[in-house]
Amino acid sequence: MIALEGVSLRYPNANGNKAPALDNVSLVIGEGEFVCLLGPSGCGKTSLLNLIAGFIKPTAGRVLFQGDPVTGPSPERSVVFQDPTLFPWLTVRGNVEFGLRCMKLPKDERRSRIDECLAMVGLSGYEDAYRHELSGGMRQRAALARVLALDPPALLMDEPFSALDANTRERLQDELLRIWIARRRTIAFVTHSVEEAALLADRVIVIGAPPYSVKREISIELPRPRPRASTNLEETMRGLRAVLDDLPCCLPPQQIV
Amino acid sequence: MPVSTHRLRGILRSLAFMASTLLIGALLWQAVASVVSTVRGVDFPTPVATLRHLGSLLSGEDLVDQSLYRHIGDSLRRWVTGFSLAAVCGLTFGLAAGREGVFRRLTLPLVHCLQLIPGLAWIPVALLLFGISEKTTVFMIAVAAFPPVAINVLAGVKEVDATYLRAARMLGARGTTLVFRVLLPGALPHILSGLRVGLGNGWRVLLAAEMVVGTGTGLGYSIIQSRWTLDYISAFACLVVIMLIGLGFERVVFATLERWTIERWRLRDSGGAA
Repeated sequence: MIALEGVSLRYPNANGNKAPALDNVSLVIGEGEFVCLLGPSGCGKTSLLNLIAGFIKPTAGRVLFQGDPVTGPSPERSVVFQDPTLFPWLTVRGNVEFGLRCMKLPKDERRSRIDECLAMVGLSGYEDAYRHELSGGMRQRAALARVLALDPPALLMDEPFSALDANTRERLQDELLRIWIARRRTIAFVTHSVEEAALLADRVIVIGAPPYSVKREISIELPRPRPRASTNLEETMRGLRAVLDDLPCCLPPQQIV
Repeated sequence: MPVSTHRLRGILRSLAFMASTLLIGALLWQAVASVVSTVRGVDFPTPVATLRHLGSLLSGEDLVDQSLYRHIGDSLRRWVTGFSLAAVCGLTFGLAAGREGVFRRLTLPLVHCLQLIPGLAWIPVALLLFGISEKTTVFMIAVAAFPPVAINVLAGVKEVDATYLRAARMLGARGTTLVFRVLLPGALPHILSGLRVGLGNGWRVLLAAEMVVGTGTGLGYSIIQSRWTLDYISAFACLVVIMLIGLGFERVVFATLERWTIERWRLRDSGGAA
């Protein structure tokens, strides 16, 4: 489904040298799999997601999606950003409709998909609201509905819940799992939270630095739903935390191109 | 839905402020008129006399061989033509320069140079290009209105948050969809202020051009002709008309556009409506 083969990424830094942001990363994310990319901030996990999304190109190696090289962004690999990036000049309906119009769907079909997806994320009744009329959690729900409407084979999520308050974050995690179980699309989910990774993922890929690459891959076999207070989950979190503790933290930020 | 008393009170208060401002202006004008009349012994039109004269012009009295409406209509037509030209060129330039770095580096300095030339300085160029004709004034308006539109549109396009473009592209937007559904609305605050400045520039140049080029009609032409015939009160009436038209565009057209867009979408971070 998603495959990275020997991918390296270098950004030119202030001295003109090319600092490695990612070094020789190879990984595979299978169809319908829920994978969390876990690591300290600055480790390149967002760069990794941007590579899969096609926003940036690798300096070396190949990014493949369904066997074909990724050449640019596409609705097949829809992204939910940390900041919801709803278009402020469109209503909630307009935002969800944006991608459907790009697909040139007829009006009836657009309408039914919009209603369905807004209901799925619990935003029915807010169709005509503008961004500034929504709370942070509602904005992220709308951003999720906007990509679910396109029914993408893969969903790329870049710390989507990290800016929300704790309760909203837990609710959205539960709803994302519910939607994922109903639809079984591939999800690559970037997070720095051990708890989030343990709760959500089939498999956790730990990225660390330096050199910036895959440090460990950990499968989580726990059945779902995984109660937050259960000993099994806490055991898993302890394991992940131990892996992270071996890695350096508080890295300098990398230049974003 | 009934209009809330809160809102009604707000409207009444701003009307009261507007009336008071007008009164202050009229009183200052009256004071100047009285002083000039006594000290210099010339007949300086007073606000009341000017308004009365404006009333008779509006009810059909000729001004420089034409009706006032003909002059207003001709001026507005030249203004709108020249400004539309500038707006289309400015938007096209701004969008193209915002997307293409090489084009921007090659052409932006030229636009900056254009901006340094005061509108009236184009008269010889305009006369050489078009002789004495409508096109001369239209050209001068366009060339004065173009730089602020172009520069502001470019600034707006460059300031559109790159994440909006990423989001649009991953949703499947390409080419013109990106331009019209993301770049244009994203750059709207800058675009509107560019259009506003361009419209003002055009208006000022229009009146000056009409005075100098001698177009036969128009408010600027009327002012300068009234002066030669010592019909100062007509010139003053034209000044009032000019001010009212400018005010109308500023307060009605642009304020409404901003209310429909920037304020409704909260594109600017502001603490609330002023």
